[in-house]
Amino acid sequence: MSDQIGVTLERTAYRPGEQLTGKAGWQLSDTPKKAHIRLFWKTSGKGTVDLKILEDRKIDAPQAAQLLDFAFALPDDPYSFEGHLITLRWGVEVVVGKATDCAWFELGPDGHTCRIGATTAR
Amino acid sequence: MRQTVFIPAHRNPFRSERVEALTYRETDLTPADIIATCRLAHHGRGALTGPKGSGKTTLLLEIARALETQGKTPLLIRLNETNRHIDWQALREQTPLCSALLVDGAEQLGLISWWRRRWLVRGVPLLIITTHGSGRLPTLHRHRTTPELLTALVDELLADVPAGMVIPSRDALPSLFNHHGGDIRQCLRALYDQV
Repeated sequence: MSDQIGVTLERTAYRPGEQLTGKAGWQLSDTPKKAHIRLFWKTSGKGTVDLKILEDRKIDAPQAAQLLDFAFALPDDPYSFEGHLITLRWGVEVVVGKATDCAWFELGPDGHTCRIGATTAR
Repeated sequence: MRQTVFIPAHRNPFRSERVEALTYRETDLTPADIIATCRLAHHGRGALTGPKGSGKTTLLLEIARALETQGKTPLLIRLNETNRHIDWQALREQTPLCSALLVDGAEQLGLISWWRRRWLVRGVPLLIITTHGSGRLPTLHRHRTTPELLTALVDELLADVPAGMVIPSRDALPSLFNHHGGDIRQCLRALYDQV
């Protein structure tokens, strides 16, 4: 049996200060020693990658197969944004042993990513 | 009017996280071979030499990962034009705990700093540096770049781009290589702007 892992969010767009909720689940061949759910943002682009983990929640005594709910209180900033040179994206990552999955979401004043320099439709 | 398609940074195939994930491919030597050569032939002291953007850092990072796989605890110090200083206090505290010291950009250290470092790390079993020129430590591998290497790396980065994305022409790569004096990193940065 191949290892399976997944994380899903109730919504993919949030406003600052809202509560993010979701589910994480996995089915592994062996009982993992460690499991974490992390709320983070990271940048991508031409320059060095910046990454900040806002919350790193350790799951006590993780089991080989498990499904759990989680909730994070979102901060006020930074907003998600997309530009040609740099993008900032928010995500929730679940790491169980060597298996990992990530769900991305948008954080912004209108519940959307700010787009910089997007003059035409993609 | 011609429409410009907006490609956000996290979809650019030449974004830094993808470039940094490329593996070194110019030599048949594996990171484990280089570690072994350094230990056995050079008393655990050696240098990866070559011009800017020739893959020295990439290979050093692969060596760091290989050491971790071997159960070692490498300490990696990265120096560049904007970060030329070593935290000597931190180094003094950490060197007794590490089994290998990897210094990227050792040419940034002046002669006094270099000798100070030699004294501090005398007990570390393995020291590998990257530097532009030879001389400070025995050369383990001399890096060189070619237009063919650039083409191969670009092909790898463009292998999974979505259909419809405007991508740079392969025919222009040799002149780009020459324009940047063989600096592969600068070539890839220039290609970022062309997407």
